[in-house]
Amino acid sequence: MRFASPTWLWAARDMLRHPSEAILTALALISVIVVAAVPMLLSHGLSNTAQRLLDSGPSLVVRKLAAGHWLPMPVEDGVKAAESVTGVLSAVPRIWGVVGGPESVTTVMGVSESDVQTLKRFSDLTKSPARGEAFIGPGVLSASSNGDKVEELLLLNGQKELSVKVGKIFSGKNSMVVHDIILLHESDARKLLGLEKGFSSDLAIHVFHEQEADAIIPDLLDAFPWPVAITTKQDTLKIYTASGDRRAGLIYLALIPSLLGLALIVTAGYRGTRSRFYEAGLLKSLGWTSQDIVGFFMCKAALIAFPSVSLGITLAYALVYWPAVSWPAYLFFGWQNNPPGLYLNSSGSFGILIQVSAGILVPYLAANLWPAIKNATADPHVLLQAEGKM
Amino acid sequence: MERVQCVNVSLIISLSGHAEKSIIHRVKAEFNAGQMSLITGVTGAGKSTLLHILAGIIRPTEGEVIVDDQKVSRWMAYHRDRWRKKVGIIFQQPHLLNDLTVFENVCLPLIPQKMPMQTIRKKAFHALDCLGLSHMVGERVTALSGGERQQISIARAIVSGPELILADEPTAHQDMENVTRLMDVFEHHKRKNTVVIVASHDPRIVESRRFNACFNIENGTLEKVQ
Repeated sequence: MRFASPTWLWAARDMLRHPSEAILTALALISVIVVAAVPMLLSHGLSNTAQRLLDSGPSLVVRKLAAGHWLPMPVEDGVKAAESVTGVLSAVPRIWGVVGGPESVTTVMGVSESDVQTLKRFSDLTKSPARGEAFIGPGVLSASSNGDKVEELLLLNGQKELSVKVGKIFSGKNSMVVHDIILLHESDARKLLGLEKGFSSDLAIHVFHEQEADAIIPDLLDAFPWPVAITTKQDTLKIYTASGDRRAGLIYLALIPSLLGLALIVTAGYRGTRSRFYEAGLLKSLGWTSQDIVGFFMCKAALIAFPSVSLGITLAYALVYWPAVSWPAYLFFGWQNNPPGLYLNSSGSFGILIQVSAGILVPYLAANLWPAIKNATADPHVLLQAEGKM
Repeated sequence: MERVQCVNVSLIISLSGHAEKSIIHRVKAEFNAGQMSLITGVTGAGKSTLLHILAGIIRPTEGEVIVDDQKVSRWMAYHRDRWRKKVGIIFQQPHLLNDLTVFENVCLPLIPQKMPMQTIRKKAFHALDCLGLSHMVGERVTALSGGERQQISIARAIVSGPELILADEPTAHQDMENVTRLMDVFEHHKRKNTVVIVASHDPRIVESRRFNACFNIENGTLEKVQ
C-alpha cells in the first residue's frame, strides 16, 4: 500500500474528525514511551559510563597503609616491588589528593611532562601546567559564579595553602576523567599534599592481561615490604554502580505508571475502534471489503502511533544523552557543577529504544486491530442496526 | 452484468421465544440489465428488506439471489464484499457521516478502489454535478435539509458507476423538479446497461411510466404487475 494512497489520506482525514482524541492518544503514547524508556536508557548509560571511566584507568591501584590510614608510597621501592611481579606491565606513581577548593573539596593531581601523553587520551591537554598554574575541569567552578568570568587565582587548602593562577579550563567536550579535577605542576601538588620528593600518593599498575588482575593480587601483597591496600577495577565499578542502582531502582518504579498508562491507551484504542461499528457497517454497504476496513483502521492507528513513538523515543534519548542535558550525572554521580553528560553506547541504546517501541506499539496496534477485524467481519445489516447511529 | 434473479428468496427472522416472522416469502423475480424496475408496496411490506437482500447486506434464509448464473447470496463473506462493490445503494435514510462535507461523503465508495485521488475527486464532482449539487461541495451535511441529504446519498450511490443501482424511496422530501432530474439520472444509467431497481410508493414515481417492469410487494410476497 502506497503511503499517498487514498486510504492513508482518508485515515489522516479521519483523525481530523476527532482531533482531540488523536492528540490525546498521541500525547499519552509519547508520555508512556518517555516514562518507560528514560529509566532503561539511564541504567544503560550509567553502567556504560562507569565502565568507560574505569577502562580509562589502571588495572590496579596500590596504596601504602599504616594503622587505619594511608601513607605516602616510596616511589623507587614501590615501583621495584610491583614490577618484580610477573604479569605487571608497568607501575606508575601518581600524585593526587583531595584538598579544599574554591567552592568545595576538589581533587588535585600533579602532572609532569611525562604525564601529558597519557592525559591527551582524555583531554585537549598539550602541555603540563607551569609552576603556580592550574588547569581545571569544567566542574570545578559553578557556572553561576564563574562560568563566564573565571577567577584568575584559585586558593587551595591542603597540607599547606596554595594560590595558583587558572591557566586553562577544559571544555565540556573533554572526558569525564578531567571533569572535576585540578591539574597542577608536580612540585605544586607535592607542596599542597605534603608529599616529599621520592614519594607518591599511590601506584597505578597496568597488567599484561586485564583478566589476570585479580590473580596477581596475592603476589603483589607479598612483593611489597610494607602493608598495602589494592583496589581493582571491579571494586571501583561496584562503588560506582551501587549508588546508581539504588536510584535506578527507584526510577524503575516509574514503569508502573507507564504500564497503567499503556493499559488505558490500549483500552481506549479498543473501545474507540469498536464503537465505530455503525460506520463500518455503512462502509461495507458502500462497497468496502473487510480488508479495506481493517486497513483503514490500521492506517489511522499507525498514523497516530508511529510519529508518537518516534517523538517519544527521540525525547527520551535527548533527556538522557543530549550534550546539554546533565541531570543524570548530577543525580547519579553527584556532580553539581556543570555535570557532564553520560557516555553513549549507540548499539545498546538503540536496542533499548527498539524494545520500548515494540512494547508500546504492539499492544496499541493489537488493540486497534482486534475490534477492526470484529467490525469488518460482522454482517453490515447488524452493524447498521446497532446503536450509536450518527 | 446481464441479469439479477430472485429464486424463492425468503427471509424469516426469529422473534423472542421460539416465534418466527416471515418478512420476505418465496420471492421470484428477474431484473435485467438496461431496464428500470419499480417495486411498490405499503410501508412495512418488505421493499427495503428485499433491496438489502439484493445488495448483499442481508443474507436470505432460503432461496437464492442469482447474478449471471452465480448464487451471490450463498457466497462467503469475502466474496459478498466483492459483490457489494458492484452495487450502488440508496437507503431510505440517507446514512451520511455528519462530520464530513458533502464532497467527502460522496467520495466514500471510491476510497478503497485503488484509484488516484485526482480521479476520485473528478468522479465525485461529476456525480454531484449530475444531480445539480455542485454548489454544495464544501458544505457540512448537518446544514442540509432532509431532501438535500437524500440527494447526496443518491450521488454517493452512483459515483462509482455501479452495475446495479438499488434505490429505496429516493424521492422522499424531493420536489417535482428533483424527482424528474433523478429519474433522468436513473434513465442515463439504464442506458449504460445498469440494472436499476427502485422501491417506492411515491405516486409521482409510480405514475411516471418510465419503468420497464413494476412489482408490488404485499406481506413479503412479490407480484409482477407490469
